[in-house]
Amino acid sequence: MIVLKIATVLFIIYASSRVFLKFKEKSISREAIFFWLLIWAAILVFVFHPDLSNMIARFLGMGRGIDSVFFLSIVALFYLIFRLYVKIEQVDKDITTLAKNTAKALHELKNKKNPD
Amino acid sequence: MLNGNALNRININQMETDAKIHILIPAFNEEKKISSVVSSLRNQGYNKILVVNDGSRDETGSVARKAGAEVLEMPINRGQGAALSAGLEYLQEKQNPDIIVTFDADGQHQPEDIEKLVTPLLEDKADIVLGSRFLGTDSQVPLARKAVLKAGIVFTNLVSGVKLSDTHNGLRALGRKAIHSIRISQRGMTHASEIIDEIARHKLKYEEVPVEIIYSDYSKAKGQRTSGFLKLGLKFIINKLSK
Repeated sequence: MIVLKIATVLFIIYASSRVFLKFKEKSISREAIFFWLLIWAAILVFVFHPDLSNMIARFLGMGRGIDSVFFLSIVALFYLIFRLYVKIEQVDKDITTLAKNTAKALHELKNKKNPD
Repeated sequence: MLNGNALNRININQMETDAKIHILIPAFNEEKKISSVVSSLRNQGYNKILVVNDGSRDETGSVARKAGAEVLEMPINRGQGAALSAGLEYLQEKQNPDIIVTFDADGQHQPEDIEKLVTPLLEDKADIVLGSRFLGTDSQVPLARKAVLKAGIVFTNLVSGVKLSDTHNGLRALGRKAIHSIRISQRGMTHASEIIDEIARHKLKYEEVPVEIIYSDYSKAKGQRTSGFLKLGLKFIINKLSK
């Protein structure tokens, strides 16, 4: 168990450093860094206080602590996937707008060069 | 019956009109067909033809230009909805059209049918006229495709509340009101359902007229696979929910 704990802590340190790095590169926002650090901190708490998950399980009306962790993880993952989906759709729409505007602008430029 | 001249007066149902009728053709890798499609339209007197070359990897653009069409070049392939939307925006911003007819590039639509689509607009009976392959007496739609199309029609009618006999037909004529109100945001094939949604949203007067669709081996190979329609329906629902 102690090996698993050490491995998890090392992974959390690594993941958090990546989050900081991405924030420093300005590729993620202030809200995002807060969100991710909160997630990793919560995992850290569960690693050292597994009994906490039992309390949450009781609160959610579930039998075992581990079930509540899985349940919450799945909810969080679904939420993340939804966010990604919305983001990708937005990027997709932006690319389409860009392509349409480029087509129109180039066409106008061409028409100005060779009016006919 | 239709004759174009220098002034581009077009005779529709014995009705001379100065209405600026533009034909809009989205095209992707259609170098084999686009020339004959553009020529057949010009032979019917339609001289204002805009081909939107949707990032084709072949010579679609130059072939269409040689055939006498104006060509709007999309820098990358973004799908039929995006190509139509680009064409509509361009025509609306730069050419002030009275009527825009959307026409397929693969040769399955007949230029003779345009007259039937345009007439209700000229007579002010509709804001948009849609071609239907199921209104005619003998539609030559292959059975598998017919079943899927019918399912799509029931689905679209339920979702949008607009009652149509054919919802995924690329042959349509838009009058001024439709040109200025319909906005296409879905870049792929789901734009066809979106147009119907837009008809409902803007309360446009619509009419359906029978048109002939010729399914050649070429157009069947180029067209969507029948199984693709299921994916289309799913994508449309997801897009609607995430709006």
